[in-house]
Amino acid sequence: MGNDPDGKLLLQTSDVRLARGDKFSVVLPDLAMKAGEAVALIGPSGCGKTTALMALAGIRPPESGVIAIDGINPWDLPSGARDRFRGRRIGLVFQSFHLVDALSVAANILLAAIGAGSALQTAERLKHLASKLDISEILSQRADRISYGQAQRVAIARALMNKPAVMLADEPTSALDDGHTENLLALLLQMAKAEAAALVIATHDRRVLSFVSSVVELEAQS
Amino acid sequence: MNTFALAFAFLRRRWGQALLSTFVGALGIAAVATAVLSAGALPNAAEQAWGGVDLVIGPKSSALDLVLCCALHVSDPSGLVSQKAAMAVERNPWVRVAAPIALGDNVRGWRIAGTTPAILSVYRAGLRQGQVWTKPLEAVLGAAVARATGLKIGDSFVGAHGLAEGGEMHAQFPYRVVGILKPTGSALDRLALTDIETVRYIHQKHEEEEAAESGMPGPHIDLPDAATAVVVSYRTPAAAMLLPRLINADPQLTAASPTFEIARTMSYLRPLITAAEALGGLLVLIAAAGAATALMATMNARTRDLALLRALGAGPWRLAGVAFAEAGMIGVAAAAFGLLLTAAVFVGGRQILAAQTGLLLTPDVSVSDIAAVFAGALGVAFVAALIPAIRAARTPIEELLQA
Repeated sequence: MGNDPDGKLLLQTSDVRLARGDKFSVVLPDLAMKAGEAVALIGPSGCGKTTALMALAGIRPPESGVIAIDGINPWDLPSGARDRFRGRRIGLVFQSFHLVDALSVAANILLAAIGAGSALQTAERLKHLASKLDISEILSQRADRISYGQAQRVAIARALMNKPAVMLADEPTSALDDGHTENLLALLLQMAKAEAAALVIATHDRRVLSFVSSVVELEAQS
Repeated sequence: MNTFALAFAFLRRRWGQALLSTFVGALGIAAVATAVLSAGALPNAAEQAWGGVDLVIGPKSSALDLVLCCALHVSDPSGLVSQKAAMAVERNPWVRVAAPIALGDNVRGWRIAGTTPAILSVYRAGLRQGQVWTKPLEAVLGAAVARATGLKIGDSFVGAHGLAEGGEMHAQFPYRVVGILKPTGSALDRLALTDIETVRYIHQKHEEEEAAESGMPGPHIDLPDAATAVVVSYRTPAAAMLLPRLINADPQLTAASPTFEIARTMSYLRPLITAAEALGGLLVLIAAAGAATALMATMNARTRDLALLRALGAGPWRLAGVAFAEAGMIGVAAAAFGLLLTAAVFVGGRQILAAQTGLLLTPDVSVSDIAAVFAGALGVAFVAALIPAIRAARTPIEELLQA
């Protein structure tokens, strides 16, 4: 991680300790990631992977330590600003995608811009991402009428809509067979590189390891 | 896509619920608006219906009946009066004009009123076509009668006995139309006017025929100058203070003021109008509760969507905004639909009401009234959305990441 001395660090953590009530606490090894790099947070269920992602995303505060996304610690920001910062600088890919089935594919992708109040040229950005992810043909379709593979691409497009510094993916391959896992990871890595974002994948799926540039093992401490 | 477009998309997904909330809200608004507008329009409609009639003089009977029968022409006569006795009022200096009325026949359900041309002055009516009757069996039609029957100047028609359609025809006495009145908005529009002596003559003949058919002796005419009533228009408002009292002192006569009798009736109707308004208010509350319940259910079903919006950077206010936008859309749609329903009630109902009561309701609606309905509907919708909006604003994101 962070081998390019000239590259800007998009994600950096230092001495981050996470807790979930009195259930467990976990120490997140320090991260220093640049654009296009990918790291897998791996460990068994309940070891704190999702808790770590929540801390990185500015959703749940760490017990201690420092997190910097593109040089800014989201936990130094007030609540509203932190929400906006998350929307603009962090792209989230959920395990079950969470597309809103009442909306069209285009509207689902644009939700990221709406949520973040983004001032980017949304129409152009949408067109660019749709072209890159090969979903231009289905933009006007409702989200509940597209295939699983198309839904994956739409979820990735939404995560990238606001040109995030960091993409966080939570268990993206847990329900996929080998073929689909390979396709999805290749796509995530390709898009993270193309969009100059750092990619963090929280997973218990060891098939992911061969795709990422580094692996961080998490272990919960009771 | 903005907050409103997003809220609309969410509403569209549960269109049945949204439609139901809108419909219930619209019913409540229509009920309240109809009650309020009717209560406001009724006095004006009544005043317009009795035209320039300040006083009705008839036999001793209910004053309200007299007004309903001979000023508004919606109920049956309760007796006869001597024209000479009732017309004595004409000599009073406070009286501008007076005209007798003799009722008893109809043409296709429209009343034939025997009278004198002075009645046009009482109602301040004018001729649109033709002239006033000058001979027996000549008739002048009110605007509504001419429109409904299609009778034109020069056409003939036969009157039927009684004030409702279906009575025995006076076939041997055909009337000829010599004039048609301009519309006045008053009861005069619904009358066919003719010479009062013509009506008396036809009725005398009718009674003679009936007596002959039954073998009974000929009819005994108590009042050779019988009239149903006399309608009076004052020269000065001061007449209203004394003239009715003077006439009511006569043991044979009743003087009834339409203004006074309708005001009295309206005071009796006030509780009914208040009840209708309360019922409308209750419907609005039910609609608001329904909308709130529907919104709560919608928001509960949408927890994930709202959490997603939060995860994508939307603050609590934005999420609350989605709930408010949804409620606002339902409120605006309910107001628009409710006003359309109200308009439909008035458009469809006013002619029926006019035919049955002589009252042509013309509600006085201003832009500010319409704005007030929309503002009220939005207010209720926002109150209904308050709890769902708070719930939306508090949507946790953690569950989304763990789902």
